[in-house]
Amino acid sequence: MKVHLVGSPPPALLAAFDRFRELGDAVSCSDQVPPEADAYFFYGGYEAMKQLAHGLVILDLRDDITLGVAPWAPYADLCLVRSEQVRATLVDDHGCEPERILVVAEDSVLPELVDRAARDALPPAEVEEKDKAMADRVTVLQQAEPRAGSQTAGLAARLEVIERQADIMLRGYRVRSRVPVIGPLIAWVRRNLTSHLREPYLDPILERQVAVNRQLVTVLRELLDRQADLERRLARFEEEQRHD
Amino acid sequence: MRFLHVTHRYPPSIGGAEKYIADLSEELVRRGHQVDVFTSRALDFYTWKNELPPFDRLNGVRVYRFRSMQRREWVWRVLHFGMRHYWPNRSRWYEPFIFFGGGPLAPGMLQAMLAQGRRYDLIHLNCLVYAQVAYGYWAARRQGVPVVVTPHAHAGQEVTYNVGYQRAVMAGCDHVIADTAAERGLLVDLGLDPWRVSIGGTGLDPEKYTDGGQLAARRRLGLPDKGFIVLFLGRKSDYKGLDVALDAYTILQSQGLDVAFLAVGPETDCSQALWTRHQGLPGLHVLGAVSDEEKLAALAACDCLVLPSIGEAFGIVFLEAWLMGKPVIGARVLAVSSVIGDGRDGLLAAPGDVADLAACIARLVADPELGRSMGARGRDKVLLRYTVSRIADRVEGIYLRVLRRRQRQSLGKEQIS
Repeated sequence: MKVHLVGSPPPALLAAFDRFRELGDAVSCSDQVPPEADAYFFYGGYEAMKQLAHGLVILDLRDDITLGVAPWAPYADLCLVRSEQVRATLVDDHGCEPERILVVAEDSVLPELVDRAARDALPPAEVEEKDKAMADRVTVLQQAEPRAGSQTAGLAARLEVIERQADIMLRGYRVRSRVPVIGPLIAWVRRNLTSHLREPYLDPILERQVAVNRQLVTVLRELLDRQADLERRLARFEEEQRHD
Repeated sequence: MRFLHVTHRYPPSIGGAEKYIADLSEELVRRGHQVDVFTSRALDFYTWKNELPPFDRLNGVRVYRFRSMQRREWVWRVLHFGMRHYWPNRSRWYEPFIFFGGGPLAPGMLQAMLAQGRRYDLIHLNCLVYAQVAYGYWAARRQGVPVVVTPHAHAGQEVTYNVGYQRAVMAGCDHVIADTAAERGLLVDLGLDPWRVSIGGTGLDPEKYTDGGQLAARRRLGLPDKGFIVLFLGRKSDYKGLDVALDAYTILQSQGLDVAFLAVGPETDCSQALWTRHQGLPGLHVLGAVSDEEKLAALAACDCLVLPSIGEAFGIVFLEAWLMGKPVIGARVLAVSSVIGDGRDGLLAAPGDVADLAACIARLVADPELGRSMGARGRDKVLLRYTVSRIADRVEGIYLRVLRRRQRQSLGKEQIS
């Protein structure tokens, strides 16, 4: 890979590019924009950024405290910053997308990051973002994870979720068809083709399972109440011990 | 570079999406690009009547207009039939009815795109709710030309972004340009790749917003010299919240505050009914559709802008008020919340909550300095983020990013082969 630095990178940032050289990449630096590079690191606003229709364009703001170059961020594929605070400023004040702004804590990750971005593979920050987004969308069951210091309360919350999910029957389900005009006929045929299985076998089996689920929830609730009682007694006992 | 913008209408047709694409096209031409526009010949989307000339050159932009099928009563019925049956089950059988009824259906535009599409470096489709985006996308894909779309998705109106073929277009485009951060979040939640969804937004030219003085503006519009004036600016459609604003104003009147209300914008059946209901309300001033100069005078004359609309994709009128240094009050809905910073450059009231809106206005009446500082902060925000030049920067940047990604992908394929 050919990496070109456009402008005058601060000396402190130059060391990061030694790692590129160690990996066999060619690194060059000038005020011009050569046509043959695969990745361009910009250290300032250059009109050439507005014409680059090839390669990977990276705006390196790691050393830019004033964010004077931030208006050039829309032209870059990636922006590198040092802190979450700068990232937030770019998102809030300059309308940048959070995914394109990577907080680089360690310079040694740069080659891998550039390589992944050049292959349009998600860079680490994006993976984290996706994981976070995924975490936000996890099931209610996982949302009810116990909070630190309150295990019983957490279990109780999870139990409530399990209780809500105990009824596994699809009670609101009705066979229907989306096909216009002949839809009702298709639905009627499907209903009659499956009812001989559903009514004598499937429904009774599932209802039994629902009953078992509900009984399990009841048992678990009793156990949880006992555990809560034991925790209270233990806490009281520890308190008394401390006073003694 | 050569770009093709495909849109349902183009100025002199009026509208936010039309202004967006026109401002963008002209700014890109100023930057040395060649921009052609393919659009319909219609002035209004109710009829898609072919009224405009087939070719125009507007500020350097070459505008090609194509004949489209007119939307007569039966076409509206087709649309309503499709909508009625589509939403309960989201059956794709009904999507063609929505596509057909929505329009504009311009076979000439499709033919021109198939014939000329390859001449462009990139095709930009504007306003997803209309049919030209769907066939424009198909033509662009057939030609192998990079394509981006600005959907202008209204969070509260699924028909603007959530019909099956609309989702397919967004998923297939190289990039999607949202108007606000909230809209971007909505599209990402629909399953679009966050890397391919960016925020564009709508911009204004600050030089056009010069304040000739509040007193002069009030006299020009026949408004009282003194007192607090609340401005409602926009088409007086039901979703814009004029009824809520008027009810809030009635509360302020009953509290004995020195307040007047100025409503500016094209009338609708809904607003006519409101005027009948509020006939004789003291301090109420009503203007219909106005010229740009009168609109600026209204903005200069007022003390705050109120638009409790629940159906905005962006709310460009907020930016206009800010440029005139006025505070704004909007409804706490997704799109507006990401434009107005509550308590910083404006206030947000609960959607449809008359008492909350009245309280927001009363807060600004009681503390004029707060309003002035909000207006100043809003102006700074517009200058930083929402000028035509800034928006063009963002879109031009997106075009380049798309072209670079295409280049990288083709390079990768070559290496593999």
